[in-house]
Amino acid sequence: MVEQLTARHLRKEYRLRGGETLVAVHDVSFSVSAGDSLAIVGESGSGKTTCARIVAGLEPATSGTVLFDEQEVDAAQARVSARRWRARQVQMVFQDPYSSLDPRQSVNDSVSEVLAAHGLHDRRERAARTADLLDKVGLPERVGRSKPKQLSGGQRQRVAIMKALAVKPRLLILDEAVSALDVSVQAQVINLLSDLRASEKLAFLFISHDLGVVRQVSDRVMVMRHGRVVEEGSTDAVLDAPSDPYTQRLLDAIPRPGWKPVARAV
Amino acid sequence: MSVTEIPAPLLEVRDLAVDLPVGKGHRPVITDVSFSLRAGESLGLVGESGSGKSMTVRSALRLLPAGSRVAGSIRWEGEDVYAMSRSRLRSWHASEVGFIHQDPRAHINPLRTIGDFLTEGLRASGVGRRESVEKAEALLERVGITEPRTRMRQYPHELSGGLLQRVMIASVLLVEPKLIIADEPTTALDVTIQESVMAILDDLRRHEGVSLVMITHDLDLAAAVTDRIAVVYAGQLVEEGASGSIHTEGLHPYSVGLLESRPSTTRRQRLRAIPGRPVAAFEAPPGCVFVDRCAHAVDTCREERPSLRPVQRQLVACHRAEDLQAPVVLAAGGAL
Repeated sequence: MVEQLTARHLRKEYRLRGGETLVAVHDVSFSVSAGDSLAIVGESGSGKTTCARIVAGLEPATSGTVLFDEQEVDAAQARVSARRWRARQVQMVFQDPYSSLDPRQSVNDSVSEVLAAHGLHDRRERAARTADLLDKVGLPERVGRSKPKQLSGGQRQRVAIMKALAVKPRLLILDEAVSALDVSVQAQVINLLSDLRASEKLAFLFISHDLGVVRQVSDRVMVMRHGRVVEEGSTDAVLDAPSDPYTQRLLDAIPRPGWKPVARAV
Repeated sequence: MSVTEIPAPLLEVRDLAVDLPVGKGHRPVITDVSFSLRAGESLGLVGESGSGKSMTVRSALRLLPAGSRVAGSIRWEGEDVYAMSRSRLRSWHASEVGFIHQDPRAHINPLRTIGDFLTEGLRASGVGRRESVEKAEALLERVGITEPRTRMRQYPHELSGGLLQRVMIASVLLVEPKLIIADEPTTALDVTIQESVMAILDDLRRHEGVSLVMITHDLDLAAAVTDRIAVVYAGQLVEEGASGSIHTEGLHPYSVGLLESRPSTTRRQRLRAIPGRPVAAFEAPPGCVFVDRCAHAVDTCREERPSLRPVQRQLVACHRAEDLQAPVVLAAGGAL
């Protein structure tokens, strides 16, 4: 089978001041097939976000390759056509939608701009497609005329998802995309993502620290620590019977009735 | 003075309502909150954004911006907090209450060493240098920091968020407070670090009799580490009771909805999301504050604001509490 996304032997080094090298990602490989949902789980410094940013083309890998349908993508190859092609393969949604939305632009205008950049030149067609997208993410029409600051956190995250969907990508990278939302709103967005995955035949690369969220949205999970993969497998298998002690420790740290937190010396 | 059998609660908040100055007018942030806390007890103040959970604590400590209007009463060991003189208020804040913030980095001077940060208060109150340093080092050990001497010489930027939060807790313990208020103390931390920080706070309460008010959006976390929980929504306390009973047989549709919204770590199922978004007190409808998002709302709920009353083992502000008594049993779920 042709994998939709393949990441092979990703390595990312950062040069620190003073000449030291920080290896954020050591030899990490994974793949996502069409319509699949892979979660990358880990704490801060695990390298999960760096992996996502490499796949999205936001950062070059020090070594390793990223392939879509077995075609190699080189982030350094910055031609507009190549960038557009990549945009239709993969879109990314961030934790804080504020940073990815232009505060001066209405929702409709910002989505319309994306559509125009991808060759939809007819104004009426763009308006129709924007209205369709609003509906898809469960936003009322009037939200389209609003600016980001007039929206609630949940609405802004729906707008970010809508913008990502505008170019009909096949893979959506969600980087802690529901982490900053209030619990009651987070549940709505998780349900929306599940629905969109089915209706749009999307694949997900879901970056999260929250094992509850991961259980709901992913089929497979990869647990990372200090830039390395410590465990991977089907989400149910890994969360029901983790084989790595670190995964077990993550599960044990989840507050629940009768939980007795243990302090570790540092 | 009369002799009473039962000592006054450590902190008692009665019928609190607060309006904050906004532009030329005022805007309500809290409309109806009452609770009391005894010595050694822990209370989880649970709510989403705009619920007024942090403002409740700020009001209780008399830390509101100038021009705020406060109704109701706040008593500390029976003493009216809003009748305290300025000097009494200062000494109360400085020696009896400790505040732990969500982001320790914003509350610790980045230009001074951890040692300076921890000892400056003691030194200012006349404690000698050596004694201050020894006390600070002992407290760093108390919160699980293994090399206190090294840490004392370091600057905040050299420490991780989790370590800095431990330093913050140590700094609060310097004055041996009777009450620690922790405002989302672990929200910015990794789960494994959260576990350590919660364990430290829990231990202080159990072994040193410090009372704890923990402000959090995480009902699972509050249920796991506090004795009682007060759920706040749109400036009103909507349910209060023993943590175990709120978690397993919560009555208010909002408390139940919050628990059902949390994705379970043990099973996959479509979430029963509460429709709409959380509102603040000033946006709340005239009847029940939760009416627009509630699946059980009837006409009475739209017309009359329910007040807190005992039902089952809880206090709940819901007209329909008796009808909704069938206990909801939930599997373990939780935030990482």
